[in-house]
Amino acid sequence: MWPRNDVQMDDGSMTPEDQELPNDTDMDFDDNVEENSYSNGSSSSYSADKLSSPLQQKLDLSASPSRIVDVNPRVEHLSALFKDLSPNEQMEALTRLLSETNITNIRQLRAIIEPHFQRDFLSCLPVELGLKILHNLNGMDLMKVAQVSKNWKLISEIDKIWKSLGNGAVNNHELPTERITGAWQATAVSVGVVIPDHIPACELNIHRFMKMQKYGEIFERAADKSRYLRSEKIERNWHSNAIMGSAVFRGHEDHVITCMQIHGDLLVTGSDDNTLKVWSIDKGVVRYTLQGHTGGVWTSQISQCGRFIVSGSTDRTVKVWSVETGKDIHTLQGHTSTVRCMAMSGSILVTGSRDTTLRVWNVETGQHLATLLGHHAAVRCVQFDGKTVVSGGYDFTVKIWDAQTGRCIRTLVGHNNRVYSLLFESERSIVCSGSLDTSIRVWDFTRPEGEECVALLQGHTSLTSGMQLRGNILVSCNADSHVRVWDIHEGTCVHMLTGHRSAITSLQWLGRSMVATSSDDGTVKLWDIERGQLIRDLVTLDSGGNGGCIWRLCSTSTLLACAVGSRNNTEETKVILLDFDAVYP
Amino acid sequence: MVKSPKSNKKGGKAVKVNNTVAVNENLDLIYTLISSDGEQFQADGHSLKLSKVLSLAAKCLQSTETTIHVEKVKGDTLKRVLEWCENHKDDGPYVSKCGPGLRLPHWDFRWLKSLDNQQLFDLITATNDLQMKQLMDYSCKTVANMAKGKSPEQLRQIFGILTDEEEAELALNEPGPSNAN
Repeated sequence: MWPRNDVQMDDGSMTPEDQELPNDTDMDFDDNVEENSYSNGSSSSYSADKLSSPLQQKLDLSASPSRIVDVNPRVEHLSALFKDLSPNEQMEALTRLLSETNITNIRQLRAIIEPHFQRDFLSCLPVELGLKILHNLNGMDLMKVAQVSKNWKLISEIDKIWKSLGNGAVNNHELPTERITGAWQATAVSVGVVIPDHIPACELNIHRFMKMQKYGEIFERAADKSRYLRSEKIERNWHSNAIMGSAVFRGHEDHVITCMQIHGDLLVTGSDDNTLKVWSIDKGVVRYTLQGHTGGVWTSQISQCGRFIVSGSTDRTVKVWSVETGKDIHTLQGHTSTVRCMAMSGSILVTGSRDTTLRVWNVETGQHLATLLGHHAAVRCVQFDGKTVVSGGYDFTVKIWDAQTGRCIRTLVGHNNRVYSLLFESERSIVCSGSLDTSIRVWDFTRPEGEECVALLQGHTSLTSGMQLRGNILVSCNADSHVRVWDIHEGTCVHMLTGHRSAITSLQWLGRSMVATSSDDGTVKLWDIERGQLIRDLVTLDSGGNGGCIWRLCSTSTLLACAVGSRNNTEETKVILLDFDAVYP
Repeated sequence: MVKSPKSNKKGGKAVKVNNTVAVNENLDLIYTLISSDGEQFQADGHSLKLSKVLSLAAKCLQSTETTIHVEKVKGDTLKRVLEWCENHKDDGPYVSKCGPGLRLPHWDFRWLKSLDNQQLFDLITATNDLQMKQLMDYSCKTVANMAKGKSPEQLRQIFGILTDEEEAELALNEPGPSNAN
């Protein structure tokens, strides 16, 4: 036994306890920015001494044991001979000796030698340097690091690392939700509705129980790690995990759901049964049925503040409803035909109508602010950023308007048929328009007149029903049953995703690189648009292909809502909701 | 590590202020560096430029002095530091990219890989003391690569860490290599 006290740390490296702060006053470093990345040794690692000293014992090859050993003359003789050899001969001898001895001895030798070449970097380097090393690891590896020892766990859970890991990748998710009462009690799985990856009913109770603890152990000690892990779990829930919660909101029986919106906890559906329904997602119950229109509702919006719901109808009016009371506050008159589309920013609303005009309103006061005249045929789609209005019409044009003055700033000409869908990215003044001529055009209206079209995206063979843009990647879904991924800078089609059997009705871009699509074929599919392949089917209707279809999708970062129905009574009208939420571990 | 003086590439530069000229000239001077354990090395200003501490030390020298005492770094570590500097003296400015996106150049990758853990850790400590951002990023990345994709048990083996139980046992029993056969 070697008494601990006699062992020297002779390998020369200094643990933080040994380091003394130098007084380098003759060197002034004026680059403060970089300084922060260096450790001045003032923060010591967490109780490193416990971990390093047992190994130092083994390490110490040169300190002489203080106990007396019986001298073995044969070993002495061998050692004397060995000492006289040259380094190369010693190496040769050692190799030869190793081959002559048994495995037990080799193992013991290894126990002496190996620690010399191992260094517990987290305990031996200053914390800042240890962190710098850990910064290079991903979440998975950091989890493994945490399991190595108490000391490693402490260091690996420091917030800084998880904060920097999360940058960009972590969505700002809402707080963990309830979604266990009301319509959530019975799942959406039923006769005719197949959710292939739904967990079996018998496991539901366990999951609901686990959902109750919204903030786990890790959140208590390392909030940023917990945040990152929850974000990763939510991403996996969408991508591959079993679906652990679902619900059905029934309503608008025998009718079509024409529009759907989500805002916070509110889900609003509009229908050609002349009403809208307002649901609480968390509680799984209907809050109000908004009645008053005398014609089908074809467009709706929820205000940014969440206090108003606005609807447009074939009765030519626009109604403003209070979310709090469920009563209509204003009825905006003026249009002389169906109000077909609308867009809102703050309390300013822009409506587009079959009467070829657009109108600007203040929803709080009910005041009519302006009429935008110029289109020669029905206005089909509109976008608004608070200042600029973008409208698309059946006259084949896209128009840019100043909402304040009511003037038409530009008319974008190029499409050969009706414009059906629009996407407006305000920051870069970019507009994407989908037309019955099968093409998608990308416009930059800061360019000189006549030169605004920066890309003509061709490939689809029918009408584009939905588009979403992130950076230079545009995803479009089309009645030709395909999804296409485009690079609008290059003007090229990066991927074409096939799988749906009939027209795609809407798409939602989720997480980093996933897109969900709904179709007339009665399915909801999930795609990886980076790799350009199908991930899985989320929902399948047995009546699909026979009339059952999915009209629209709406999503939040943890929820997918699908408006489902049919035109021939093969499928009842409802909204199917899928829960992808996760708690803070 | 003796270097013959390089031809002054900056010969065409106009003389602005005395300071600027002095710094430029220093880059071609050969300095003697003495490690904490007394070993001596030679390096020119171009190499020293890669360490903020060393280049400032050089700047602060008296006009006739060319010796820098590097008190915090041992001989064999300093040798390696200077070897790396020699290889990178002609590099352009370095933009730090810590994190999973950082990729090591071929030479650095192989060179760092050939070091054992002790040498690597000594090197990291030296880069901290000498304020060498690029080498620090690379060597930290190298250690991180050793930890990538490993299970906790593998990590313990590679870095010689005892589990909390083993540690406790050790504290009680204090075993050492036995002479019994």
